[in-house]
Amino acid sequence: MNLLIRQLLHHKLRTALAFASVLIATLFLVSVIGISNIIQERFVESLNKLSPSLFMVLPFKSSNVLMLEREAKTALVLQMFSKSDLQRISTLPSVKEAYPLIQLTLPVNEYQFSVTGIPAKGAPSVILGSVDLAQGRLYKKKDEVVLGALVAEELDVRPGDNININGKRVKVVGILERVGQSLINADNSIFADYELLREMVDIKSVPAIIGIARNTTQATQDILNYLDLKYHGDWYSVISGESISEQLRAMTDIVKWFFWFIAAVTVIVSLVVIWNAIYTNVLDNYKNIATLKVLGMTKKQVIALYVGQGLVLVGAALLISLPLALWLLSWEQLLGIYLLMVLGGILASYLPAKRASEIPPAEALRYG
Amino acid sequence: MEEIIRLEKVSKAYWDGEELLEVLKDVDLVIYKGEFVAIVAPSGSGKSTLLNIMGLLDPPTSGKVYLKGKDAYAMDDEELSLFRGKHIGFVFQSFNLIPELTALENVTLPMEIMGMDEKKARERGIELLRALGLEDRAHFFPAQLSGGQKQRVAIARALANKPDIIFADEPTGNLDPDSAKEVLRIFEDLHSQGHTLVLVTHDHSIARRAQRIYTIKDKRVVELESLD
Ligand SMILES: Nc1ncnc2c1ncn2[C@@H]1O[C@H](COP(=O)(O)OP(=O)(O)O)[C@@H](O)[C@H]1O
Ligand SMILES: [Mg+2]
Repeated sequence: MNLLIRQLLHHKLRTALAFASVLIATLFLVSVIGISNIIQERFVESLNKLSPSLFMVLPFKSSNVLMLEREAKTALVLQMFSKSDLQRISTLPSVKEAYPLIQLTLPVNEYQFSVTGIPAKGAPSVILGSVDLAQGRLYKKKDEVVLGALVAEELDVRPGDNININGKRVKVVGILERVGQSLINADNSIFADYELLREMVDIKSVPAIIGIARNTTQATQDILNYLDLKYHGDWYSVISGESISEQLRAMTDIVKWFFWFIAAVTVIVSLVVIWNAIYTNVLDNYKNIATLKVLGMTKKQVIALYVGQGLVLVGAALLISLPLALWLLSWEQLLGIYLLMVLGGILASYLPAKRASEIPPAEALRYG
Repeated sequence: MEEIIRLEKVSKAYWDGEELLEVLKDVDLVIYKGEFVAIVAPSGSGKSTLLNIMGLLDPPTSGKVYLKGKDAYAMDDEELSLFRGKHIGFVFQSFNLIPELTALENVTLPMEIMGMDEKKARERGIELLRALGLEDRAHFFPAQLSGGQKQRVAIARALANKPDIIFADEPTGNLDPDSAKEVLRIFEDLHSQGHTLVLVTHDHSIARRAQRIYTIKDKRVVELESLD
């Protein structure tokens, strides 16, 4: 009805504030859910590349995924695993294959790069389990290397070119595809035969171990049990694609819930603002409402008038947010949020509307 | 003569804090179709209280009110609202126009509440405003009208649903003498057209215009033979 809109327009500032708050809440809610949709999509994509059965046994404590890239240089660690450790781990029933692993930061041409050494026979399962080849093939000999996508880009080399690692000439035989998130840090590393790097730092023991598990959770547990029994130490850790996925998932969940929490608070605040705006409208129109009842308005009609005002505010905000919602949300989400906002709007305006409907009509005659 | 309203042993008391304040006691009153009745009594004597009860706005503490033969306060709240909207018109001392609506919209409002078609309501609204000399003010808002004009809009609004009875509570109380005269002339016109009017006032000179005059004395309504 006419009156419904007129009363809203009559109190411009109050209406504008209430409207702005509902609009902000709606836009925020839509964006948050939209963004979390996108994060989840990307995330699932990157998790798919994390090859869950790949595991690494590292000579330091590493619990934080984000720290991993910085920490994973094994050359200067104080303690190392023995050849028999590698032997035992590779024969665990839950482990399919295990290889020695070494990671060093070395001068390459004029730059510094992370170089990862894995035996040539382990390269197909370990490297290709995480990333595909873009060009060429994997290394087979001590003087052959494969480059991560970003390394190849920076050095500007192709398969067949030679590069210089720590004073030694080696031949680039392959270049990896770009993967983004990966356990072996594929994009930013050079991959070479284990022997090449081991000779450069001249060590006899095993700095780290990499492998493929049959059952990742079981393998992680078995390896830790074995190491704990032998070393009683806390200088090593076992990570796997699976455990990192779990950590990442937990982290994005926290971020997601945090966003949802803020969105929920915004929505509640906006509903309180609607409640307040309608309530103030009711108080301001006390005598007018009594007059409407004198003129024959029923309680239901009075409730409809003020719930209608709440719905107009919410409805306008929802309409304006529609393009964004259509762009970011799935149909179910759109329907859910819109239903939620409409129900919230009804609830928020129902209380003051009910109050309005209970104003006694006799109040209209009161002079003043 | 056809009875429009009948009050039987109507009493009304208010709770005033701890004390029970009795305003009306065992009031009997009948108003017939086409009458112009004035109720004249000093301030605080219970005129508005009586009007609230007759106008179906506030139930009496005890007693019965019959409107067109129907036991009014036996109806539920919704029926009461509809009955009020359909059969009763009100004119207030402070006009009670809805400030957000134009003069014409104020007049069509009761018709729309009763579910009348918008176009029909508009036609009747314009007709009513024309009859009260306000055609050229149809699209003015209450704030843009003088007191006399506001009260004429309010009278047009009271007539909107062709009520059986019109109640007016101190309708000239907020008006300058000229506007008051004009409003009283309109009431006389309405009376001569056959409308039933009940006007409440503390002002004897206004009550004089009525056909029958009552007063409230010792919580009862009594008829006055002459005003002196
Ligand atoms: N809602 C109410 N609650 C308590 N007392 C009331 C109420 N309405 C009226 N009264 C009291 O009842 C008496 C009659 O009031 P009212 O009917 O307004 O008189 P009048 O219209 O003749 O001036 C007054 O004393 C007034 O204070
Ligand atoms: Mg009064």
